Amino acid sequence: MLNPYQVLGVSESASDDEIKKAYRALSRKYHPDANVNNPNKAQAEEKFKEIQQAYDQIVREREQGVRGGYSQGYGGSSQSGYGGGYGQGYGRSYGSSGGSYSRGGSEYDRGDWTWGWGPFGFGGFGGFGDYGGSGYGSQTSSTDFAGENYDEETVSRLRSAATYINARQYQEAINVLNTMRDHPAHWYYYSALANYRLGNNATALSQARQAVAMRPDNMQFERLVQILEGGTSAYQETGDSSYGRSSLGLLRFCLPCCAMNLCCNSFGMLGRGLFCC
Amino acid sequence: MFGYIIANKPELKIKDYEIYHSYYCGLCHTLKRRYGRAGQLTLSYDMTFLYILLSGLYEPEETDSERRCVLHPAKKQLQRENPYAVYAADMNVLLSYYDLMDDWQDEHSHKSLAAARILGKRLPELEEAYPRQAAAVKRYVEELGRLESAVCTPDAVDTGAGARSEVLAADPSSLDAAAGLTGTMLGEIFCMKEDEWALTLRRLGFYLGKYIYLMDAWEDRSSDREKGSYNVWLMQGREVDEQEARSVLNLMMSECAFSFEALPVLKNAEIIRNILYSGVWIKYEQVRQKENESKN
Repeated sequence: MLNPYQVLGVSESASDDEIKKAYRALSRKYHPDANVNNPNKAQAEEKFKEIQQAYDQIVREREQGVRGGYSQGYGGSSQSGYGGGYGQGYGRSYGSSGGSYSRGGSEYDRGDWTWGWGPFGFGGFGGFGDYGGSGYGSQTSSTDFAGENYDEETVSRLRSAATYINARQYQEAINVLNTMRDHPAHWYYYSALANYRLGNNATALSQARQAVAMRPDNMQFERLVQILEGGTSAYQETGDSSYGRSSLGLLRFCLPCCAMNLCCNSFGMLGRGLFCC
Repeated sequence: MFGYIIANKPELKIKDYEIYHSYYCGLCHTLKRRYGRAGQLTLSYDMTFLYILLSGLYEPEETDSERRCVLHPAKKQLQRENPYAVYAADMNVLLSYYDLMDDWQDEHSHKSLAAARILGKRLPELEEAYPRQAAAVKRYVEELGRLESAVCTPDAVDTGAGARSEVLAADPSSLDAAAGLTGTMLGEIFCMKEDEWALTLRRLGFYLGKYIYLMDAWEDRSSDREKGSYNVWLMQGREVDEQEARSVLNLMMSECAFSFEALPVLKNAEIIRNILYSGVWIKYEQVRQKENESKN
Protein backbone atom coordinates (compact mmCIF):
# COMPACT_ATOMS: atom_id res chain seq x y z
CA MET A 1 0.00 0.00 0.00
CA LEU A 2 1.24 3.43 -0.89
CA ASN A 3 2.23 6.04 1.62
CA PRO A 4 -0.89 8.22 1.87
CA TYR A 5 1.17 11.39 2.14
CA GLN A 6 2.81 10.55 -1.17
CA VAL A 7 -0.57 9.94 -2.77
CA LEU A 8 -1.64 13.44 -1.79
CA GLY A 9 1.73 14.86 -2.67
CA VAL A 10 2.40 16.38 0.72
CA SER A 11 5.05 15.94 3.35
CA GLU A 12 4.36 14.06 6.55
CA SER A 13 4.76 17.26 8.50
CA ALA A 14 2.11 19.05 6.48
CA SER A 15 -0.49 20.87 8.53
CA ASP A 16 -4.09 19.69 8.50
CA ASP A 17 -5.10 22.60 6.31
CA GLU A 18 -2.36 21.74 3.83
CA ILE A 19 -3.62 18.16 3.70
CA LYS A 20 -7.16 19.38 3.06
CA LYS A 21 -6.01 21.79 0.39
CA ALA A 22 -4.05 19.04 -1.38
CA TYR A 23 -7.04 16.70 -1.19
CA ARG A 24 -9.37 19.32 -2.61
CA ALA A 25 -7.07 20.08 -5.52
CA LEU A 26 -6.75 16.40 -6.42
CA SER A 27 -10.44 15.78 -5.91
CA ARG A 28 -11.34 18.57 -8.32
CA LYS A 29 -9.24 16.79 -10.91
CA TYR A 30 -10.22 13.16 -10.35
CA HIS A 31 -13.69 13.24 -8.86
CA PRO A 32 -16.20 11.21 -10.94
CA ASP A 33 -18.40 14.30 -11.30
CA ALA A 34 -15.53 16.15 -12.92
CA ASN A 35 -14.77 13.32 -15.33
CA VAL A 36 -18.13 12.48 -16.80
CA ASN A 37 -16.96 13.15 -20.34
CA ASN A 38 -13.46 11.90 -19.85
CA PRO A 39 -12.61 8.85 -21.99
CA ASN A 40 -10.29 7.76 -19.18
CA LYS A 41 -12.93 8.12 -16.53
CA ALA A 42 -12.41 4.63 -15.15
CA GLN A 43 -8.79 5.47 -14.39
CA ALA A 44 -9.84 8.79 -12.93
CA GLU A 45 -12.23 6.98 -10.65
CA GLU A 46 -9.54 4.57 -9.51
CA LYS A 47 -7.25 7.45 -8.80
CA PHE A 48 -10.02 9.24 -6.92
CA LYS A 49 -10.59 6.21 -4.71
CA GLU A 50 -6.89 6.14 -3.95
CA ILE A 51 -6.92 9.82 -3.06
CA GLN A 52 -10.00 9.41 -0.87
CA GLN A 53 -8.48 6.48 0.97
CA ALA A 54 -5.22 8.32 1.51
CA TYR A 55 -7.02 11.35 2.90
CA ASP A 56 -9.22 9.28 5.17
CA GLN A 57 -6.26 7.35 6.45
CA ILE A 58 -4.27 10.44 7.33
CA VAL A 59 -7.25 12.04 9.03
CA ARG A 60 -7.95 8.95 11.03
CA GLU A 61 -4.35 8.50 12.13
CA ARG A 62 -4.13 12.11 13.21
CA GLU A 63 -7.38 11.83 15.11
CA GLN A 64 -6.10 8.70 16.82
CA GLY A 65 -2.98 10.61 17.71
CA VAL A 66 -4.92 13.41 19.31
CA ARG A 67 -7.29 11.11 21.14
CA GLY A 68 -4.65 8.70 22.27
CA GLY A 69 -2.69 11.49 23.84
CA TYR A 70 0.23 11.14 21.46
CA SER A 71 -0.27 14.67 20.33
CA GLN A 72 2.10 17.15 21.81
CA GLY A 73 -0.71 19.52 22.40
CA TYR A 74 -3.23 21.46 20.50
CA GLY A 75 -4.14 24.94 21.65
CA GLY A 76 -0.90 25.25 23.51
CA SER A 77 1.48 25.70 20.64
CA SER A 78 1.94 28.37 18.01
CA GLN A 79 -1.25 30.24 18.60
CA SER A 80 -1.28 32.62 15.72
CA GLY A 81 -4.73 33.98 16.30
CA TYR A 82 -7.64 32.16 14.77
CA GLY A 83 -6.17 31.24 11.48
CA GLY A 84 -3.49 28.77 12.29
CA GLY A 85 -4.84 27.76 15.63
CA TYR A 86 -6.69 24.61 14.96
CA GLY A 87 -4.70 23.47 11.99
CA GLN A 88 -1.50 23.57 13.98
CA GLY A 89 -2.95 21.73 16.86
CA TYR A 90 -4.16 18.78 14.95
CA GLY A 91 -1.12 18.59 12.80
CA ARG A 92 0.99 17.89 15.85
CA SER A 93 0.02 14.29 15.85
CA TYR A 94 1.73 13.39 12.62
CA GLY A 95 4.12 10.52 12.65
CA SER A 96 3.35 9.71 16.23
CA SER A 97 0.87 6.97 15.63
CA GLY A 98 3.49 4.48 14.65
CA GLY A 99 3.35 5.11 10.93
CA SER A 100 1.68 1.81 10.25
CA TYR A 101 0.10 2.56 6.92
CA SER A 102 -0.51 -0.96 5.85
CA ARG A 103 -3.53 -1.54 8.05
CA GLY A 104 -5.30 1.52 6.81
CA GLY A 105 -7.08 -0.10 3.96
CA SER A 106 -9.47 -2.26 5.94
CA GLU A 107 -12.22 0.27 6.44
CA TYR A 108 -12.54 0.91 2.78
CA ASP A 109 -12.19 -2.55 1.33
CA ARG A 110 -15.89 -2.95 1.56
CA GLY A 111 -16.62 0.31 -0.17
CA ASP A 112 -19.78 0.31 1.84
CA TRP A 113 -20.69 3.66 3.29
CA THR A 114 -24.23 2.95 4.27
CA TRP A 115 -25.74 3.68 7.59
CA GLY A 116 -26.60 0.14 8.46
CA TRP A 117 -23.10 -1.08 8.09
CA GLY A 118 -21.98 0.64 11.21
CA PRO A 119 -22.22 4.34 10.77
CA PHE A 120 -19.36 4.99 13.04
CA GLY A 121 -17.06 2.68 11.22
CA PHE A 122 -15.21 5.82 10.55
CA GLY A 123 -15.37 6.45 14.22
CA GLY A 124 -11.82 7.56 14.23
CA PHE A 125 -10.46 4.25 15.37
CA GLY A 126 -10.07 2.09 12.33
CA GLY A 127 -9.54 -0.89 14.54
CA PHE A 128 -7.99 -0.59 17.93
CA GLY A 129 -5.13 -2.65 16.74
CA ASP A 130 -3.44 0.21 14.99
CA TYR A 131 -1.51 1.41 17.96
CA GLY A 132 2.20 1.27 17.50
CA GLY A 133 1.97 -2.42 16.68
CA SER A 134 2.38 -3.41 20.27
CA GLY A 135 0.63 -6.68 19.82
CA TYR A 136 -2.95 -5.58 19.88
CA GLY A 137 -3.32 -7.03 16.43
CA SER A 138 -6.98 -6.92 15.50
CA GLN A 139 -9.51 -5.04 17.56
CA THR A 140 -10.07 -7.91 19.86
CA SER A 141 -6.69 -9.52 19.81
CA SER A 142 -6.17 -11.87 22.68
CA THR A 143 -9.27 -13.96 22.93
CA ASP A 144 -7.48 -16.43 25.11
CA PHE A 145 -8.15 -14.19 28.13
CA ALA A 146 -4.83 -15.05 29.70
CA GLY A 147 -4.92 -14.81 33.43
CA GLU A 148 -8.68 -14.87 33.74
CA ASN A 149 -10.65 -17.67 35.31
CA TYR A 150 -13.54 -17.59 32.92
CA ASP A 151 -15.66 -20.70 32.54
CA GLU A 152 -16.20 -22.33 29.17
CA GLU A 153 -19.58 -20.76 28.57
CA THR A 154 -18.24 -17.30 29.26
CA VAL A 155 -15.21 -17.80 27.06
CA SER A 156 -17.33 -19.10 24.24
CA ARG A 157 -19.72 -16.16 24.34
CA LEU A 158 -16.98 -13.60 24.71
CA ARG A 159 -15.21 -15.11 21.70
CA SER A 160 -18.45 -14.96 19.75
CA ALA A 161 -18.87 -11.31 20.62
CA ALA A 162 -15.28 -10.64 19.63
CA THR A 163 -15.83 -12.32 16.29
CA TYR A 164 -18.88 -10.17 15.63
CA ILE A 165 -16.95 -7.06 16.53
CA ASN A 166 -14.16 -7.94 14.15
CA ALA A 167 -16.77 -8.52 11.48
CA ARG A 168 -18.23 -5.11 12.27
CA GLN A 169 -21.55 -6.61 13.31
CA TYR A 170 -21.86 -4.60 16.46
CA GLN A 171 -25.51 -5.14 17.27
CA GLU A 172 -25.01 -8.88 17.03
CA ALA A 173 -22.09 -8.57 19.43
CA ILE A 174 -24.30 -6.70 21.88
CA ASN A 175 -27.00 -9.32 21.52
CA VAL A 176 -24.57 -12.09 22.44
CA LEU A 177 -23.20 -10.11 25.36
CA ASN A 178 -26.73 -9.53 26.62
CA THR A 179 -27.29 -13.28 26.85
CA MET A 180 -24.52 -13.54 29.42
CA ARG A 181 -25.36 -13.68 33.07
CA ASP A 182 -21.88 -12.91 34.28
CA HIS A 183 -20.29 -9.62 33.43
CA PRO A 184 -16.55 -9.96 33.91
CA ALA A 185 -14.07 -7.32 32.84
CA HIS A 186 -13.92 -8.47 29.23
CA TRP A 187 -17.69 -8.31 29.00
CA TYR A 188 -17.44 -4.62 29.77
CA TYR A 189 -14.57 -4.17 27.35
CA TYR A 190 -16.34 -5.76 24.40
CA SER A 191 -19.60 -4.02 25.24
CA ALA A 192 -17.74 -0.75 25.29
CA LEU A 193 -16.21 -1.42 21.87
CA ALA A 194 -19.49 -2.47 20.29
CA ASN A 195 -21.45 0.33 21.89
CA TYR A 196 -18.97 2.91 20.74
CA ARG A 197 -19.30 1.67 17.18
CA LEU A 198 -23.06 1.86 17.41
CA GLY A 199 -22.80 5.49 18.51
CA ASN A 200 -23.57 4.81 22.17
CA ASN A 201 -20.51 6.65 23.34
CA ALA A 202 -21.70 7.60 26.83
CA THR A 203 -22.50 3.98 27.57
CA ALA A 204 -19.21 2.91 25.99
CA LEU A 205 -17.16 5.18 28.21
CA SER A 206 -18.84 4.08 31.40
CA GLN A 207 -18.39 0.44 30.40
CA ALA A 208 -14.74 0.97 29.51
CA ARG A 209 -14.20 2.57 32.90
CA GLN A 210 -15.82 -0.40 34.55
CA ALA A 211 -13.46 -2.76 32.74
CA VAL A 212 -10.48 -0.75 33.99
CA ALA A 213 -11.88 -0.67 37.50
CA MET A 214 -12.08 -4.45 37.45
CA ARG A 215 -8.65 -4.95 35.87
CA PRO A 216 -6.50 -1.88 36.41
CA ASP A 217 -3.42 -3.62 35.01
CA ASN A 218 -4.94 -4.36 31.64
CA MET A 219 -3.31 -1.98 29.17
CA GLN A 220 -5.85 -2.68 26.48
CA PHE A 221 -8.67 -1.55 28.74
CA GLU A 222 -6.76 1.50 29.86
CA ARG A 223 -6.06 2.37 26.25
CA LEU A 224 -9.74 2.30 25.38
CA VAL A 225 -10.65 4.64 28.21
CA GLN A 226 -7.84 6.95 27.14
CA ILE A 227 -9.13 7.07 23.58
CA LEU A 228 -12.73 7.68 24.57
CA GLU A 229 -11.78 10.36 27.06
CA GLY A 230 -8.85 11.80 25.15
CA GLY A 231 -11.08 13.25 22.53
CA THR A 232 -12.89 15.27 25.14
CA SER A 233 -9.76 16.88 26.57
CA ALA A 234 -8.62 17.93 23.12
CA TYR A 235 -12.05 19.33 22.36
CA GLN A 236 -12.29 21.34 25.56
CA GLU A 237 -8.76 22.67 25.27
CA THR A 238 -9.33 23.89 21.75
CA GLY A 239 -12.56 25.58 22.76
CA ASP A 240 -10.90 27.30 25.68
CA SER A 241 -7.71 28.36 23.99
CA SER A 242 -8.91 29.31 20.52
CA TYR A 243 -12.63 29.98 20.62
CA GLY A 244 -13.28 31.75 23.85
CA ARG A 245 -15.21 29.00 25.47
CA SER A 246 -13.67 29.52 28.87
CA SER A 247 -14.74 33.15 28.97
CA LEU A 248 -18.40 32.34 28.27
CA GLY A 249 -18.93 32.22 32.00
CA LEU A 250 -17.97 35.84 32.28
CA LEU A 251 -20.53 37.08 29.81
CA ARG A 252 -23.97 37.94 30.99
CA PHE A 253 -26.59 36.57 28.67
CA CYS A 254 -30.22 37.34 28.64
CA LEU A 255 -31.00 35.21 25.66
CA PRO A 256 -28.84 33.46 23.09
CA CYS A 257 -29.59 35.94 20.39
CA CYS A 258 -28.10 38.79 22.37
CA ALA A 259 -24.73 37.17 22.03
CA MET A 260 -25.45 37.23 18.33
CA ASN A 261 -27.12 40.59 17.81
CA LEU A 262 -29.08 39.01 15.04
CA CYS A 263 -32.35 40.21 16.39
CA CYS A 264 -35.12 39.63 14.00
CA ASN A 265 -37.89 40.39 16.36
CA SER A 266 -40.40 41.99 14.05
CA PHE A 267 -41.35 38.71 12.50
CA GLY A 268 -42.30 37.38 15.88
CA MET A 269 -40.63 34.19 14.98
CA LEU A 270 -43.08 31.93 16.74
CA GLY A 271 -40.51 31.41 19.43
CA ARG A 272 -38.37 29.39 17.14
CA GLY A 273 -35.01 30.40 18.52
CA LEU A 274 -35.17 33.93 17.26
CA PHE A 275 -36.17 36.18 20.04
CA CYS A 276 -34.60 39.13 21.69
CA CYS A 277 -34.63 40.77 25.03
CA MET B 1 -35.30 22.13 21.33
CA PHE B 2 -33.48 23.93 18.59
CA GLY B 3 -31.70 27.26 18.55
CA TYR B 4 -28.51 26.12 20.30
CA ILE B 5 -26.28 25.98 17.28
CA ILE B 6 -25.22 29.62 17.40
CA ALA B 7 -21.97 31.54 17.14
CA ASN B 8 -19.99 33.11 19.93
CA LYS B 9 -20.07 36.55 18.40
CA PRO B 10 -17.48 38.34 20.53
CA GLU B 11 -14.96 35.74 19.45
CA LEU B 12 -15.64 35.98 15.75
CA LYS B 13 -13.59 38.28 13.57
CA ILE B 14 -15.80 41.06 12.29
CA LYS B 15 -15.22 39.83 8.77
CA ASP B 16 -16.35 36.32 9.75
CA TYR B 17 -19.36 37.66 11.56
CA GLU B 18 -20.42 39.53 8.46
CA ILE B 19 -20.01 36.38 6.38
CA TYR B 20 -22.09 34.47 8.92
CA HIS B 21 -24.75 37.14 8.75
CA SER B 22 -24.76 37.05 4.97
CA TYR B 23 -25.50 33.31 4.97
CA TYR B 24 -28.25 33.85 7.51
CA CYS B 25 -29.81 36.56 5.35
CA GLY B 26 -29.30 34.48 2.25
CA LEU B 27 -31.17 31.59 3.84
CA CYS B 28 -33.92 33.92 4.93
CA HIS B 29 -34.29 35.23 1.43
CA THR B 30 -34.35 31.72 -0.02
CA LEU B 31 -37.05 30.74 2.44
CA LYS B 32 -39.09 33.75 1.42
CA ARG B 33 -38.65 32.97 -2.26
CA ARG B 34 -39.64 29.34 -1.94
CA TYR B 35 -42.15 29.39 0.88
CA GLY B 36 -43.31 32.94 1.29
CA ARG B 37 -43.78 34.64 4.60
CA ALA B 38 -44.73 31.46 6.46
CA GLY B 39 -41.48 29.90 5.38
CA GLN B 40 -39.46 32.93 6.35
CA LEU B 41 -40.81 32.67 9.87
CA THR B 42 -39.24 29.24 10.23
CA LEU B 43 -35.72 30.59 9.77
CA SER B 44 -33.42 28.97 12.30
CA TYR B 45 -29.81 29.27 13.30
CA ASP B 46 -29.54 25.52 13.16
CA MET B 47 -30.21 25.32 9.46
CA THR B 48 -28.05 28.40 8.91
CA PHE B 49 -25.27 26.31 10.40
CA LEU B 50 -26.03 23.47 8.02
CA TYR B 51 -26.04 25.93 5.14
CA ILE B 52 -22.62 27.28 6.11
CA LEU B 53 -21.26 23.78 6.66
CA LEU B 54 -22.37 22.43 3.30
CA SER B 55 -21.18 25.59 1.56
CA GLY B 56 -17.78 25.13 3.15
CA LEU B 57 -17.61 21.49 2.18
CA TYR B 58 -18.76 21.74 -1.42
CA GLU B 59 -17.53 25.28 -2.21
CA PRO B 60 -20.29 26.15 -4.68
CA GLU B 61 -20.51 29.29 -6.76
CA GLU B 62 -22.05 31.96 -4.60
CA THR B 63 -24.02 35.08 -5.30
CA ASP B 64 -23.90 38.02 -2.97
CA SER B 65 -26.73 40.48 -3.27
CA GLU B 66 -27.61 43.53 -1.31
CA ARG B 67 -31.27 43.89 -0.60
CA ARG B 68 -33.52 45.73 1.72
CA CYS B 69 -35.46 43.59 4.08
CA VAL B 70 -38.42 44.19 6.34
CA LEU B 71 -36.34 43.98 9.47
CA HIS B 72 -33.62 46.31 8.34
CA PRO B 73 -35.40 48.92 6.25
CA ALA B 74 -32.69 51.52 6.62
CA LYS B 75 -29.69 49.60 5.39
CA LYS B 76 -29.49 46.99 2.66
CA GLN B 77 -28.34 43.61 3.87
CA LEU B 78 -25.80 41.39 2.21
CA GLN B 79 -27.39 38.08 1.33
CA ARG B 80 -25.25 35.17 0.26
CA GLU B 81 -26.97 32.49 -1.74
CA ASN B 82 -25.94 29.26 -3.38
CA PRO B 83 -27.67 25.95 -4.19
CA TYR B 84 -27.21 24.67 -0.65
CA ALA B 85 -29.49 27.40 0.63
CA VAL B 86 -32.29 25.55 -1.11
CA TYR B 87 -31.52 22.35 0.76
CA ALA B 88 -31.17 24.18 4.06
CA ALA B 89 -34.45 26.00 3.45
CA ASP B 90 -36.25 22.79 2.57
CA MET B 91 -34.93 21.08 5.70
CA ASN B 92 -35.85 24.13 7.73
CA VAL B 93 -39.45 23.87 6.60
CA LEU B 94 -39.54 20.10 7.04
CA LEU B 95 -38.39 20.37 10.64
CA SER B 96 -40.54 23.38 11.38
CA TYR B 97 -43.70 21.80 10.10
CA TYR B 98 -43.50 19.08 12.71
CA ASP B 99 -42.35 21.51 15.36
CA LEU B 100 -45.37 23.72 14.70
CA MET B 101 -47.77 20.78 14.80
CA ASP B 102 -46.20 19.90 18.12
CA ASP B 103 -46.83 23.43 19.42
CA TRP B 104 -50.42 23.21 18.34
CA GLN B 105 -50.90 19.90 20.13
CA ASP B 106 -49.15 21.01 23.29
CA GLU B 107 -50.13 24.61 23.62
CA HIS B 108 -53.00 25.07 21.17
CA SER B 109 -51.23 27.98 19.62
CA HIS B 110 -53.41 29.11 16.75
CA LYS B 111 -50.51 30.95 15.25
CA SER B 112 -48.64 27.67 15.06
CA LEU B 113 -51.54 25.83 13.54
CA ALA B 114 -52.02 28.50 10.90
CA ALA B 115 -48.35 28.41 9.95
CA ALA B 116 -48.35 24.61 9.99
CA ARG B 117 -51.32 24.51 7.65
CA ILE B 118 -49.61 26.76 5.14
CA LEU B 119 -46.37 24.82 5.24
CA GLY B 120 -48.18 21.52 5.36
CA LYS B 121 -49.31 22.03 1.82
CA ARG B 122 -45.70 21.74 0.75
CA LEU B 123 -45.05 18.61 2.76
CA PRO B 124 -45.89 16.15 -0.03
CA GLU B 125 -43.34 17.73 -2.35
CA LEU B 126 -40.73 17.67 0.40
CA GLU B 127 -41.48 14.04 1.10
CA GLU B 128 -41.04 13.28 -2.54
CA ALA B 129 -37.83 15.22 -2.98
CA TYR B 130 -36.26 13.96 0.24
CA PRO B 131 -37.86 10.64 1.16
CA ARG B 132 -35.03 9.60 3.48
CA GLN B 133 -34.95 12.84 5.46
CA ALA B 134 -38.72 13.17 5.62
CA ALA B 135 -39.07 9.62 6.90
CA ALA B 136 -36.41 10.24 9.53
CA VAL B 137 -38.14 13.37 10.81
CA LYS B 138 -41.51 11.64 10.87
CA ARG B 139 -40.18 8.62 12.77
CA TYR B 140 -38.43 10.90 15.22
CA VAL B 141 -41.49 13.01 15.90
CA GLU B 142 -43.64 9.95 16.44
CA GLU B 143 -41.21 8.34 18.84
CA LEU B 144 -40.74 11.59 20.72
CA GLY B 145 -44.50 11.85 21.02
CA ARG B 146 -44.70 8.43 22.57
CA LEU B 147 -41.97 9.28 25.04
CA GLU B 148 -43.69 12.46 26.04
CA SER B 149 -47.06 10.84 26.57
CA ALA B 150 -45.65 8.38 29.04
CA VAL B 151 -45.79 9.34 32.66
CA CYS B 152 -42.58 8.70 34.46
CA THR B 153 -41.12 8.87 37.87
CA PRO B 154 -37.62 7.63 38.60
CA ASP B 155 -39.11 4.49 40.13
CA ALA B 156 -41.79 3.58 37.70
CA VAL B 157 -42.89 4.13 34.18
CA ASP B 158 -46.54 4.09 33.29
CA THR B 159 -46.34 2.07 30.17
CA GLY B 160 -49.74 3.08 28.83
CA ALA B 161 -48.77 4.85 25.65
CA GLY B 162 -45.15 4.57 26.62
CA ALA B 163 -45.15 0.84 26.02
CA ARG B 164 -45.00 1.48 22.33
CA SER B 165 -41.97 3.68 22.74
CA GLU B 166 -38.81 1.96 21.56
CA VAL B 167 -36.70 3.85 24.01
CA LEU B 168 -38.82 3.05 27.03
CA ALA B 169 -39.09 -0.55 25.99
CA ALA B 170 -35.32 -0.88 25.64
CA ASP B 171 -33.81 1.15 28.45
CA PRO B 172 -35.44 4.34 29.65
CA SER B 173 -32.38 5.34 31.61
CA SER B 174 -29.97 5.13 28.68
CA LEU B 175 -28.68 8.58 27.79
CA ASP B 176 -27.55 7.26 24.42
CA ALA B 177 -30.87 5.65 23.54
CA ALA B 178 -32.94 8.73 24.34
CA ALA B 179 -30.52 11.18 22.76
CA GLY B 180 -30.00 8.86 19.82
CA LEU B 181 -33.46 9.75 18.52
CA THR B 182 -32.57 13.35 17.86
CA GLY B 183 -29.13 12.25 16.78
CA THR B 184 -30.34 9.83 14.15
CA MET B 185 -32.78 12.36 12.80
CA LEU B 186 -30.30 15.20 12.59
CA GLY B 187 -27.73 12.86 11.08
CA GLU B 188 -30.09 12.22 8.17
CA ILE B 189 -30.73 15.92 7.74
CA PHE B 190 -27.03 16.72 7.71
CA CYS B 191 -26.36 14.06 5.13
CA MET B 192 -27.64 15.75 2.04
CA LYS B 193 -26.58 13.13 -0.49
CA GLU B 194 -25.03 9.68 -0.42
CA ASP B 195 -21.57 10.71 -1.47
CA GLU B 196 -18.08 10.29 -0.04
CA TRP B 197 -19.04 12.54 2.89
CA ALA B 198 -22.31 10.87 3.80
CA LEU B 199 -20.92 8.92 6.74
CA THR B 200 -18.98 11.81 8.21
CA LEU B 201 -21.85 14.26 7.85
CA ARG B 202 -24.20 11.76 9.48
CA ARG B 203 -21.78 11.33 12.31
CA LEU B 204 -21.49 15.10 12.72
CA GLY B 205 -25.26 15.51 12.79
CA PHE B 206 -25.72 12.49 15.03
CA TYR B 207 -23.51 13.71 17.85
CA LEU B 208 -24.73 17.28 17.49
CA GLY B 209 -28.28 15.98 17.79
CA LYS B 210 -27.40 14.01 20.90
CA TYR B 211 -25.81 17.08 22.40
CA ILE B 212 -28.89 19.19 21.72
CA TYR B 213 -31.23 16.59 23.15
CA LEU B 214 -29.24 16.10 26.33
CA MET B 215 -28.73 19.80 26.90
CA ASP B 216 -32.40 20.48 26.37
CA ALA B 217 -33.32 17.68 28.77
CA TRP B 218 -30.83 19.02 31.31
CA GLU B 219 -32.44 22.42 31.13
CA ASP B 220 -35.93 20.96 31.59
CA ARG B 221 -35.24 18.58 34.43
CA SER B 222 -36.87 20.61 37.20
CA SER B 223 -40.06 21.23 35.32
CA ASP B 224 -40.18 17.65 34.06
CA ARG B 225 -39.74 16.40 37.59
CA GLU B 226 -42.74 18.44 38.70
CA LYS B 227 -44.87 17.35 35.79
CA GLY B 228 -43.79 13.73 35.93
CA SER B 229 -42.66 13.96 32.34
CA TYR B 230 -40.04 11.69 30.92
CA ASN B 231 -36.57 13.11 31.33
CA VAL B 232 -33.58 10.87 30.81
CA TRP B 233 -31.47 12.72 33.39
CA LEU B 234 -34.10 11.96 36.03
CA MET B 235 -33.95 8.27 35.19
CA GLN B 236 -30.40 7.74 36.38
CA GLY B 237 -31.36 6.49 39.80
CA ARG B 238 -29.37 9.25 41.48
CA GLU B 239 -28.94 12.99 41.42
CA VAL B 240 -26.69 13.88 38.50
CA ASP B 241 -24.48 16.85 39.23
CA GLU B 242 -23.59 19.59 36.78
CA GLN B 243 -20.05 18.37 36.35
CA GLU B 244 -21.16 14.94 35.25
CA ALA B 245 -23.72 16.40 32.86
CA ARG B 246 -21.09 18.66 31.38
CA SER B 247 -18.79 15.66 30.94
CA VAL B 248 -21.39 13.82 28.92
CA LEU B 249 -22.17 16.88 26.84
CA ASN B 250 -18.46 17.34 26.14
CA LEU B 251 -18.29 13.71 25.07
CA MET B 252 -20.97 14.35 22.45
CA MET B 253 -19.51 17.58 21.14
CA SER B 254 -16.02 16.17 20.91
CA GLU B 255 -17.23 13.44 18.57
CA CYS B 256 -19.09 16.07 16.59
CA ALA B 257 -15.98 18.20 16.35
CA PHE B 258 -13.83 15.28 15.26
CA SER B 259 -16.33 14.61 12.50
CA PHE B 260 -16.02 18.18 11.34
CA GLU B 261 -12.25 18.02 11.40
CA ALA B 262 -12.42 14.90 9.24
CA LEU B 263 -14.10 16.93 6.50
CA PRO B 264 -11.80 18.79 4.10
CA VAL B 265 -13.42 22.11 4.91
CA LEU B 266 -11.28 25.21 4.55
CA LYS B 267 -13.87 27.81 3.59
CA ASN B 268 -16.01 29.03 6.48
CA ALA B 269 -13.96 26.77 8.78
CA GLU B 270 -13.35 29.35 11.47
CA ILE B 271 -17.01 30.27 11.70
CA ILE B 272 -17.93 26.62 12.00
CA ARG B 273 -15.28 26.01 14.65
CA ASN B 274 -16.45 29.02 16.64
CA ILE B 275 -19.90 27.46 16.70
CA LEU B 276 -18.88 23.87 17.44
CA TYR B 277 -16.16 24.58 19.99
CA SER B 278 -17.76 27.51 21.75
CA GLY B 279 -21.07 28.79 20.43
CA VAL B 280 -23.07 25.67 21.26
CA TRP B 281 -22.16 26.18 24.93
CA ILE B 282 -23.67 29.64 25.20
CA LYS B 283 -27.13 28.37 26.05
CA TYR B 284 -25.69 25.84 28.49
CA GLU B 285 -23.74 28.57 30.29
CA GLN B 286 -26.88 30.64 30.48
CA VAL B 287 -28.77 27.79 32.12
CA ARG B 288 -25.91 27.16 34.51
CA GLN B 289 -25.76 30.82 35.54
CA LYS B 290 -29.48 30.91 36.11
CA GLU B 291 -29.35 27.78 38.26
CA ASN B 292 -26.43 29.06 40.29
CA GLU B 293 -28.27 32.27 40.92
CA SER B 294 -31.42 30.59 42.08
CA LYS B 295 -29.35 28.51 44.44
CA ASN B 296 -27.84 31.62 46.07
